[in-house]
Parts: sequence; structure tokens; C-alpha cells
Amino acid sequence: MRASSDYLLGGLFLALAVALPLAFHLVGLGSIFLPMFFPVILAGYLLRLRTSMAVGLTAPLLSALLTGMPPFYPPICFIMMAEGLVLTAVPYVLFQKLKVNVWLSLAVTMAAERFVLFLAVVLASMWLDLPAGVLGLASLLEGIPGIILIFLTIPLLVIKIKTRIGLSPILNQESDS
Amino acid sequence: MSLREYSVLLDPRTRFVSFLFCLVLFLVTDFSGGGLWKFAAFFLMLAAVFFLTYERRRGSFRRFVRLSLYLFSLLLFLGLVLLVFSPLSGRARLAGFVDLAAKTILVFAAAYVFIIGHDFGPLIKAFYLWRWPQVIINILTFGYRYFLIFEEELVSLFRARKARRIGRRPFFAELKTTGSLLESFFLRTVDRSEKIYAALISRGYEGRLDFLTDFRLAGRDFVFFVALAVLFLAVRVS
Repeated sequence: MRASSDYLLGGLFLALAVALPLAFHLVGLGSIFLPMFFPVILAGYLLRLRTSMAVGLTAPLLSALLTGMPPFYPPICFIMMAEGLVLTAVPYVLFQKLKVNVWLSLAVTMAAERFVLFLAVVLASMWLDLPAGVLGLASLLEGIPGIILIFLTIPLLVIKIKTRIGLSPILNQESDS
Repeated sequence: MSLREYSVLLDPRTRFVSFLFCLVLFLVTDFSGGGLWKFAAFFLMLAAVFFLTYERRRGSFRRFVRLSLYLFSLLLFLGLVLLVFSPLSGRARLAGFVDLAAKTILVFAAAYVFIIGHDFGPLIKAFYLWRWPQVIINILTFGYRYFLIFEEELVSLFRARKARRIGRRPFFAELKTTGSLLESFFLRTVDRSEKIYAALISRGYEGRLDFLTDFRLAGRDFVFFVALAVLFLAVRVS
């Protein structure tokens, strides 16, 4: 993909990462479905490293600056920025560079993301004098429905979108930068 | 110049730096015990900034209340966790929770007064002037532009889904429906990106976006920031 179309697709994924949580919350589905992570993971699978990491990093930040969610304090926004980096860097390295199977790469990505989340929540809880173990465990378990949904949708979407981009005469061009 | 005009002319860089200043200041302030008056003073000063720098106060205040409801549910959850699981004594738990709640409310109020309640577009231009990486500026520009479109589309899509659902469905059926809804929306987004990109190329797009809005730091920005810093620091150290 050309760098400029990469930016455009990154921008669209970023817009979805901010808009999806609003739609989910509106119908009472809530954060247990991890709505922000769907476009972020897709960016990791489909875009160049720089663009996808920018999506992962800016999605929680833009959402916090537009809607106040996730909050800056307690530092949920910063924890989600760290998760966003993992969710984009790991699929890029495993799937795009090392050509690992999409299912295996997704499993490793989610495991790495859960590890970073647990670590970040424990550290933040210790800083805020909150019960670290309980909150760390709660944050891990809370996202289980979202992880199931990610495994149901992302692999198929990656294959379908890659095919569409491959067939597109406009989006499928060699990188010019 | 009236006070209402003053608000609109404030440079977005001044608003962003003011927010960062408040964020750091609130984090290093202890609100537990006798520090509660500081919370009240900071909150009143932020309210004064809101009053001085907003044109449509009633609508903005309603939005502030609506957005802050999420924070209260978060605080309620954290309060319950502290109450049940914290090894600290009752008094220390209460002090910890008061400090946490005060900081949470103040940081959100500062974010709202300086950033969330204003148009986000000029802030991207501010990041551009600060020479943030081009990749961030590009995807923020596209992201903000299409967020406004996607928000409306997704909300109506999910509302329609909710309206057609009768009774409670099994968990996996719910997941399957949500999954297929997301899948079709993502595929449509990629199709749309192709059309947008073709339109951009036809208008001479080469991977760089320019901004039509222009602004400069003026004397009022310095006066505003110095006054804010002096007043807030005075409360912090007293």
C-alpha cells in the first residue's frame, strides 16, 4: 500500500476506534466487549508499523480528548495506550513480517495484551493505594466476552480485507516512501 | 471586547498547555483530610474559566454532566473495591478514596473546560505547529473527520439492532449478531476508503494535509496562562 492510502485507512480505523465504544455503550454492551480494540488490531494486521502504532497510540488519546472516556485519571487512558501499542506491534511482527498464521498470531497478541494490561493495572493500583491483585484480576476477566468476539471476527476480517485491498487498483500499490 | 468574544479567540495551544498544567498540579496535590477546601477552590476556578470561555454555556454544561456520569460509575466501583478488599484501616481507606475521587473529578473537569468542550480541529493544527510527527497529524486529521460521520452511522446501526431485538437472547447468539454487524461495517469502511482515496488523489493529495485555519499566540494567551498559573499555584501552596 502507498504511504498516503495507509494514512487514510489508519485514519478510518482511528475514527472507528473512537466511534465504536460510543455505539456499544449506547445500547448497553459496554466495555466488556473491548470495542476500541477491533480497529486497532486490524490496523496491526493490515497497515505499516508506523501507521498502525500511531493508531494504537492515538485511539485512546483521541477518545479521551473528544469524549472524556477513557479518563486521564485514574490513568486508564495511558494503560490503553500501552495496550494499543502491543495490539499493533505484535500482529505486525508476527503476521506481516514473520508470516505466522493469523489465528496463532492473534492468540499471541491477545496474551501479550492481557499481560501488559495486568502489569499496568497492578502498577497503577499500587501507585493509587488500591487493592492491586483484585483490580488486576478483575481487569483480566472483564474482557473475556470481548476476546471471544475478537477471535470470532478478526481472523475472517483480516483475510477478507486483505483480499479486497489486493483486488483494489487504487489501494494496492507498492509503497512509495 | 466582550468576555464572550475572548473565549473564542483563545489559542488552542494555550488551552492544551493549561490542561497539562492543571493535570500535573492536581496529581501532586493531596486532597484527603484538610485538603478538601482545595478541591472546592480548584473546582470553582475551573467553573469560572468555563463561564468566561464558553459561548453556549447551557448546552456545554448539559454535555459535561452527561459525560461525567461514566466517571461516577467508575468511582462507585473503585469505592466498593476499596471498601471490601483494601487492607488499610477505615480512616485511611476513606482518605484514599476522597483523594482519588477529587483528582478524578478535577482532571475530568479541566479536560472538559480546556479541550473536550471545544472544537477539536484547531487542536490538530496546534499539534502540527508543535511539529508532532507527520504520521500522527495525518491520521488524527482523517480520524477526527471520519469520526463525526461514523459516530452517527454506528449509533443508528446499533439502535436499529436493539429495536429489532425482542427479549433476551443467549450469550453466544448475541456475540454472533454483534460479530456479523461489525464485520459488515468494517468491510464497508474499506470499500469507502477506496472511494475516498480516489477522490483525494483526483484533488492532488500526495500524503500531506494542510490547514486553512490560522491562529497566532497573542498577549491575551500569555495573560490568561499566567493568571491561571498564579491562582492555581496559590491554592496549591497555601
